[in-house]
Amino acid sequence: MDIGKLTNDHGLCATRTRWVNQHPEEYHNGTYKETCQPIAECYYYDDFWTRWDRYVAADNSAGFWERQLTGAAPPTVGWIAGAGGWVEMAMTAGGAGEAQTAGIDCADILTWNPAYGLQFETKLVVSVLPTLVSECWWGVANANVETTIVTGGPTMHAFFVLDGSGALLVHTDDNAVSSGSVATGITLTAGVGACFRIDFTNPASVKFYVNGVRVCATTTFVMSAATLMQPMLQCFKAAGQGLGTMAVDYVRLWQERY
Amino acid sequence: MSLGRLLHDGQAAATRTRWNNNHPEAYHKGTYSETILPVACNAFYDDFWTRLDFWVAADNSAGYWTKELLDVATIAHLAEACGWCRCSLTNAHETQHAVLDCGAICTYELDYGLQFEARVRAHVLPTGTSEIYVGMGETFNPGTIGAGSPAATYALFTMVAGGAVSIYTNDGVTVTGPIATGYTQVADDIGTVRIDITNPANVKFYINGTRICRATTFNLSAVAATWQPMLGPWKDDDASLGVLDIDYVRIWQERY
Repeated sequence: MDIGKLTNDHGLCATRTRWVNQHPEEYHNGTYKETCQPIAECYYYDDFWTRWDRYVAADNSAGFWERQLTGAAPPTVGWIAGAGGWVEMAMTAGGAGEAQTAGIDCADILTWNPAYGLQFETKLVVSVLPTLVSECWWGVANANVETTIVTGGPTMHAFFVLDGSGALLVHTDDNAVSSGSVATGITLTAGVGACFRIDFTNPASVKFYVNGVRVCATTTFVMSAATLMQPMLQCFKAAGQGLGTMAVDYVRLWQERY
Repeated sequence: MSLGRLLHDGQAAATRTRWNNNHPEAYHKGTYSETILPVACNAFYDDFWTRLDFWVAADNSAGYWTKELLDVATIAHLAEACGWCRCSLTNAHETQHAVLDCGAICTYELDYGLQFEARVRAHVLPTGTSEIYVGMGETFNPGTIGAGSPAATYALFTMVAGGAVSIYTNDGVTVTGPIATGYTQVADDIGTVRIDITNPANVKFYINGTRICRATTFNLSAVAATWQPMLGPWKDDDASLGVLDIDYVRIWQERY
């Protein structure tokens, strides 16, 4: 249900309001349908404006985010200066086809509860699409496990996934029921950004959105058994050849407190 | 005055809006009456999601928060749903404090409609000489609450042995307190506390959205100093205990 359009003295405003699952939200009525201001008790927002905002020490010792880096080549996770600020994670060609991880999560500190109407939203650009054995994924999960998502990954997760190409998939697993490699029908183009949202209002039927449009609507993604989670955005490849680079513009999470 | 209830598909939603001292707020229509989204020029919010979020180095060299720690007291992140910060005393026979503040960087002005809100619980009730403070004040100066401690001027919810919750204010001349709130904390029971300084001559205190100590006028109009938030336990040189858990802190005010 739409609350109504916000107007100013010159006509319609780009920022509008809507109801989503009993919470009012302000959103941008443009291509990405970005949620500008969710109105929920618990709320996290990082736009990566400068030098990682709330992410802190180079040694990963403090801060909201923790870098996950594996590989000698080495893969990289760093802030990049684009409009709005971005954080980029990139795998490299690597000697001898080594396994690599380049990503961010919350150091396995799990504080987000799918049973509390958890919402995850991010805008990102995959600037180098995954090739060969490489994968890129983003969403929420429990403790990080550095394996390929299409055969494993964290025991609980809800992810958008790219597996060796730009074909966008959805994977979920609550350690009881898994739904893997469900095609969204969308193929991402290198360098073209999109806004991705995962909606846990009903954990028995988790919903996925790309630029405000629901995808995989005919699949019921069951996450009823899921416990506490963390956000996780990662490029990964098992031992072998492959590339993949993605840049994250912002991350928002919100939920009720009780 | 209420802005009106926000409705969703014919039913009352948990999230509603209200006017509070000339500012619209969204709030949760539940037990704790949490202010979700204060619409104010200057608003701070920390939910302690992971590793104390805005707070940074172990040596207190950077970040919004500073750990005020004496001896083996600790302040650490608690990985529970929604994230918490735990401020703990131990039973070591020594003076201790574990207070979270802004390192004497006082930037909040009482004349600008200052509001403080926190959701807290005493995980271990104070014993013996222990006291738990939750509120705002000037530079932290550890000691039994009264003139000069825990700050030269302050407005605080306090808890002493047994869990009785009181209000203390100090404008630098007059200490008003302890004023009994009528609430007695049970270990791990959660409450949302709010201090409303819309009118410094009549500061108001709330627990779970209900105003308390109505019969007392807390006059802080003489306070010229700026303040910082201040949350945590303190004890004298004995084996007393006390552990405060903080779910979130919100502070907001006008800018000019």
